[in-house]
Amino acid sequence: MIFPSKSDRLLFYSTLPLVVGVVGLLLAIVSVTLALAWPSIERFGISLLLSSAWKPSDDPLAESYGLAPAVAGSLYVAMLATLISTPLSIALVLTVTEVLPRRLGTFLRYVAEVMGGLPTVIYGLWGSSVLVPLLRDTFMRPLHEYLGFIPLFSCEPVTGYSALAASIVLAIASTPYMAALLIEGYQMIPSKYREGAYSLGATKYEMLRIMLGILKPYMVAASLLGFSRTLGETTIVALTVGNSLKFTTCLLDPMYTIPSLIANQFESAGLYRYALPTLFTGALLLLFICLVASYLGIKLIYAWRGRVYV
Amino acid sequence: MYSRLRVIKNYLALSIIVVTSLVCLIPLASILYIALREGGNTLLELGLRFLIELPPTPLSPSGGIAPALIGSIISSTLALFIAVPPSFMLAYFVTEFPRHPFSKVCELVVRSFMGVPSIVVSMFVYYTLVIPMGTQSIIAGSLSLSFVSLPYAYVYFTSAFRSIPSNIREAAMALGMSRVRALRYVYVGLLRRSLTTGLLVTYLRAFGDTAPLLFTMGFLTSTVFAGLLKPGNALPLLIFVYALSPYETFHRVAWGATLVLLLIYLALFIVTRSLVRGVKL
Amino acid sequence: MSAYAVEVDNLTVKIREVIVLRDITLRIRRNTIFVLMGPSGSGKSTFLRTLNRLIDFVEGSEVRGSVRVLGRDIYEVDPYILRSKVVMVSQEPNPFPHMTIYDNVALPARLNKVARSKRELDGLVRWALERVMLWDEVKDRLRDYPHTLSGGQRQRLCLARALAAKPEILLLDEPTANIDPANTLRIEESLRNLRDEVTVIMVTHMPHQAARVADHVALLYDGTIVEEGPAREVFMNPRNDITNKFLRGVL
Repeated sequence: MIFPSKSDRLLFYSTLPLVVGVVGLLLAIVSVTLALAWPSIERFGISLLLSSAWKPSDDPLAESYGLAPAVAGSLYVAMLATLISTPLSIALVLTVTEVLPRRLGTFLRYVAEVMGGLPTVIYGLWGSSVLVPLLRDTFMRPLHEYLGFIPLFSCEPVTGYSALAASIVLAIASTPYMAALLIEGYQMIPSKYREGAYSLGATKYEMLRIMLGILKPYMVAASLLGFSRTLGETTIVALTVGNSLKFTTCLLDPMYTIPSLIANQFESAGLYRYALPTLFTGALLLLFICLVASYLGIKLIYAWRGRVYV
Repeated sequence: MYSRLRVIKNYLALSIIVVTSLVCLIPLASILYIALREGGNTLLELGLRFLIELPPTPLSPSGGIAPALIGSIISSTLALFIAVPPSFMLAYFVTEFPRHPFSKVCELVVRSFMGVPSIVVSMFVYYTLVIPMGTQSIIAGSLSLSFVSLPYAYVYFTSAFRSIPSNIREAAMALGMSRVRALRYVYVGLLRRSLTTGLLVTYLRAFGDTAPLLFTMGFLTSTVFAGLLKPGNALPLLIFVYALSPYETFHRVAWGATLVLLLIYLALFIVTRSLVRGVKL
Repeated sequence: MSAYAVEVDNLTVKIREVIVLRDITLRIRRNTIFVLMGPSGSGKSTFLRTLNRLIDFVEGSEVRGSVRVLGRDIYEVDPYILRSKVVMVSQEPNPFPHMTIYDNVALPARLNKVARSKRELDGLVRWALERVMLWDEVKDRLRDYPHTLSGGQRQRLCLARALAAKPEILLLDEPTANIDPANTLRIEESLRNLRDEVTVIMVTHMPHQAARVADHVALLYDGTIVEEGPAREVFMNPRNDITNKFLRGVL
């Protein structure tokens, strides 16, 4: 594309290196992670996803690592957290935009914004010292007692640090973010649909159900973006998930997620030949899933926007 | 017709919705309360010395957070300096030439950047900067922070630029101003408040972020400031490391630091919100 | 140096495949007040925006034909330089809200380096505001902001801002469409006094305004020039039936 004007051309040529730089940075991150993960992929191959060992050793031939517990834990925690925070954020959005009178709604939105930007480490510390013991006694113990026959709850919660605990704190922390996304989307819906619902005689609740129906693809997109975010979360998870290498399907047991594994093992990993590459493999997996999830989420939002404005 | 069932359903559903949302917001009250209680204890013990003293060893009775406080302030400021100019220029370019292929690429790439987990950024900077330098450093931490903040600053600036009314744009163009001139003399003045808010929001986000600093910043406790090319510390980092540790002293310091971080966060948050409210057009 | 300010030959403008201007050929002399009149939607604004290449910003726009302004083809010069010599005032008053009255008028002059010192700039601002007959009303509140002015005053402010840029050609897009009658007459009077310094090309849908102000007129109907010539001739002896209808207000 030709810029007819000299000053436009100047603007273009000075912004060009920035665009190249940003694209280059993203590519660099992906390729460096891949390159550093390669030794481990080469050596262990698919067993990385199947094995739950973590045996560092001075003898490179004796080393054996597996990411299975971390991957499983990551998926567990992220899915559970998203499952919890999606309905919560929907409720929050509806309350703030429609149900409450304007002033109260704005105040609650303010509170939600404060929560949304709160440093995650504060959530983590609060979660680990306050919420986890509370959850263990009031929620997890009864869960194990009464529903222990379900494999998800079949283990005894000793300390309380577990996938469930991590998911709950994570959900509390990411609900404001999802709610903010949803509010943005909700406010994009032209008011004619709302008026249409009312003019057909719908009650407020029924109107909300109709609006939610319109919002559904957007909600899916927001869940994807929320999922991507919780997958990559480090601090909250490291403080509440228990950090145990044992592979387990019980939600009440301590687990690992990929970020918390990396956070805990990175320092000592440098001493062994294949430990660091394995961590980078975990990072690569994380990167891949997160990029795909957020790309899908953004595409869905664009597509939805196109349909809603017709 | 409005059968009684419909009306009851309506009230029931709405109440459930409201109660659920309150449930979401109660944790904030708990966090504030606990932080005040636990952190307050720590701060009351030491008073303002908490902010100036060095962190304790596991066996000493108490200590302060000075290197972390300074490190946070410095690294967030540096991150701002590194991330804001590129995101500002890119945001301007994309809003002025929305149909140019480069703008489309830019939008896609920068928004994808938001999907990169911050711990991966930390690992990247570790390998590309920390290892060659031979040491962790404040500059590495700041760089890591800036990479994570860049997409958010970009999104903020693009929405600010898109909010310029089209009749103002036309007025500027119709007077023969070039795009850059229009930016400098008209748009920036018009967007004064949004741009300042954008800066503050970016700063705040960098200040509270932990993961980017994990392998890049180091953990300085022996002195308050050792230089930009040497290891440093940061408030969220300190809280994280101390919270994971088994020592009671460390836990106390972590809570004190949490209270300080919380207060700083709330103060800056209120400042940015009050700025946004005062936009007059 | 061409005797004409604007030379248009076979200009056809399409926006998203719809033909807005059809094969227009026109000559506008320097230092005259040229009024392009016509009913709403006939393409008058598009014509102005073609002259200063603001049409470049419209998505789906296509310009065919030749347009020469001040002797040069407008597609061979830097559009920003073009627009600093061919300044346009929009229909809706749009003073920059975050700048004072003084700064609004002074801005284009400062940028185009028309004034070289603060004193020259002050003088220029005063001159521009006097020309639009706004000086007496605002001379004591130059540091105030535009939102304290009425709509008519704001439009005159925009006109002063355009004048202070010392353009060669002034494009006016229905400048009094949103203005009360008193201000309208004042603006028209100031336009009449500008002839010696600029070429004024104005667009309006009100035939009476054209009659009051123009030296030369042209009637644009459905994208084509239906009639043109010296104002007196066209108003006294319209040759075309459409012109007749327009002048009588039945179009």
